[in-house]
Amino acid sequence: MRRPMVLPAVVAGAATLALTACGGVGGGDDSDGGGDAQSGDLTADPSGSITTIGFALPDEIATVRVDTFREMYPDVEVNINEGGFDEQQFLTSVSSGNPTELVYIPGDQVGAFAARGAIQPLDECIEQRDIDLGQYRPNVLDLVQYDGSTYAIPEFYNTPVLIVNNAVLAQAGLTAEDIDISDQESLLAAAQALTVRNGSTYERIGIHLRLPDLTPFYGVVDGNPWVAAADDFRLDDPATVATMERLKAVQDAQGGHTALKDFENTWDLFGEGNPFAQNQVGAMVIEQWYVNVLANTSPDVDITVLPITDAGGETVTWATSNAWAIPKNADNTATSCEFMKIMTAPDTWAAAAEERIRLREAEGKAFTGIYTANEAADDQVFGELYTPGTGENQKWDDAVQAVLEAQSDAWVVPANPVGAQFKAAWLEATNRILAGTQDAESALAEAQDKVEQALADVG
Amino acid sequence: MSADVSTAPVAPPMSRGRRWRAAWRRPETRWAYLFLLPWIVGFLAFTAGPMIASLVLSFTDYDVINPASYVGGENYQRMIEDPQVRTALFNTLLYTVIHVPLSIAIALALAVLLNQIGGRFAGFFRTVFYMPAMTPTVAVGVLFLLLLNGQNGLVNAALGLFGIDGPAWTTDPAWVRWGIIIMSLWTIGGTIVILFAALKNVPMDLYEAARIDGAGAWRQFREVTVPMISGSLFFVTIVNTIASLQMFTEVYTMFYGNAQSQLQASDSALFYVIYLFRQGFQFLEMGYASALAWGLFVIVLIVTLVQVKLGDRFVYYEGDDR
Repeated sequence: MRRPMVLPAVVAGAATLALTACGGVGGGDDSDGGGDAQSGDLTADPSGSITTIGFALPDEIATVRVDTFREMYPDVEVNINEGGFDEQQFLTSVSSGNPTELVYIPGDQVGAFAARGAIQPLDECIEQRDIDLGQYRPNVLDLVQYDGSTYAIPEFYNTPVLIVNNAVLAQAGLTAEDIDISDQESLLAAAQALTVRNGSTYERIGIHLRLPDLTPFYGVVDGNPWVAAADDFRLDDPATVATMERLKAVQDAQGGHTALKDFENTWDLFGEGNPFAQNQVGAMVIEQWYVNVLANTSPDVDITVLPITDAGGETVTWATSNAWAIPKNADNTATSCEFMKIMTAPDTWAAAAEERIRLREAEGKAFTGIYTANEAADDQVFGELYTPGTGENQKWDDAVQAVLEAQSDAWVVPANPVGAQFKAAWLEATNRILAGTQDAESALAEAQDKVEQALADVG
Repeated sequence: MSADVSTAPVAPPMSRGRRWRAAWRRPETRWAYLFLLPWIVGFLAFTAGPMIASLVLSFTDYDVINPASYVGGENYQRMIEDPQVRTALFNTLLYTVIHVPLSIAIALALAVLLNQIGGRFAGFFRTVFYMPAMTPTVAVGVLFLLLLNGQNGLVNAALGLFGIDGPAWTTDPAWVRWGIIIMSLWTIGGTIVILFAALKNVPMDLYEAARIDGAGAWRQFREVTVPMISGSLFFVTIVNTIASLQMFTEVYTMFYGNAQSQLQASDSALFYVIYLFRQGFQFLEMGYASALAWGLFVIVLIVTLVQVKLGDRFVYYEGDDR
């Protein structure tokens, strides 16, 4: 038997396997550099079909709004390609010249896609289809406006609040007033008092700061936002270093970040066995949507919701949002514009809220609001539809008032061309610092270098 | 009577072109190419084309959206200076160095065991050992996030039976690599099948001869089994090495697949192809990602060439002189 032709085969195999990892992207043959204005008559009646990516229909708040559009324009075929936002799916569709009509993207990536021309400026769309930007919260518009143009229409308005598990605090002889996120001494004391573990096995996290998800928020709490402008990042600021060091101290006081994360991964966050129902947490900093989750899955849970304050006692928060955008070279922009307008209009939000109220009432549960980037919509929902809870549901009304108080003036990361790199940089640095594999100063200096390098690359 | 071979006319050798033309005149050749055509078209369109495109892109600044601009060797220079490339390369090579011998050793041991099993259960056990290899890789990633959880995962529960307090396999940077190596053993079914088939082909008379010569079980394994299956061992070594250097799906699912999983990603989980993918599709640096792809190709090529050279010394092919 002859020896097999091993060498040519393995070389060809290696080349194929190694190189096709990166080869499937089209050539981007347009010479206009992106940032196309919409083409065609933007005032035309909606028609034809539109397809969206990055958006899902998990609940009535989503389905009612899509149905509203469908009822208004029954001749338009709306295809919701359900799923989370996938950069590869989006970019390859744009690069190949075959984008969907609409994309639903995280707000912190709007600037990056706008800077590269992957999404279209919406100024003409906004003007010709009478989208009233004055209805939207000005700070969220900072998230979607880049270089003087609006590139996306924001939907929700997510802001962290403090949710306190009253039963757990009572066991430890504490009250909600004993937890002050901006005061390190009281935070450490509460964290230690509330944490319960048996060796390396956790029964309860005392104060869950939701790290690293919300790390930049604590920069805001400490009076030092990590981004001052689209090209001014402050990860290596001594105040940022101080914030990270105190966060690590809190995690260490409760047994260490990696063990806490492991325990958190066992939680049934969205189910009836959630950490509040199971007394697996003493207090948690989390976005306001979790109040809605608890009101639905655990209506009997004993919680208090509080806005978070800085050292001066002022309410502080950080807002994030997802937003609708039109990809470069997308067709049917007039219909897409109308879809974005209808999906985020006050009446549409109100219709969705009404459906939720009906469903909650049918189950004897409290309606705890919907929180949108459209302030006029929120005014309509909370002014006309929302009924304060009484009796058993009083606590949910208190929670709603706390959320509304917290939302008044939120900080947002300004739209910038390196959103993904910035997030990756602070995430990596945070994980290294909290795990104790790198000190805060050098980790944040490296992160700052990466962001500045990315800014330089974008030019 | 004998022919005078020294004076017999010898036809001059045909040139390669003539040989090819002569072959092309035969209908069998044309039919063969016709049947090969789908693969050839597929290869040119989906493999050779993207490879050439990635080579060209590796010399450009290309963000996927806008036209590429030529930057010479900048991407390769950046690759050499990028500390995260070194981190990713270290993780990938460490994983390869541990995973390949470990998986082959375990697969070989299981193949030997399977080879001992006869009767009605033989097929059952072969199926059972191969089935995990059929699990979709994304599902493997998700499954092992649960199995390896430091608080309530089955792996630590099993260690607990022996009084061992297991680590945080998925969140502690010191243990993440080891967790990934444990996970990778889930899919050794393919290697087991290949080695099992090789074991089946070892002639029994060789074992009989060895026994007559007084060789024990270990000696038989070392002197008969291993040389006789060395071709298959060489094959699985090459294939597993290339696959390990390109480790992606399971680790990406565990640590980078969505916004939530990225929250627990540590440097220990940064594998080379993951870094490449993120540069291309998350950070819109497709030119740099293409350079990284060619860097990986060179590494895979070098490693493979070294393995082939070493294989020449250790691999026995039936019919060889050795």
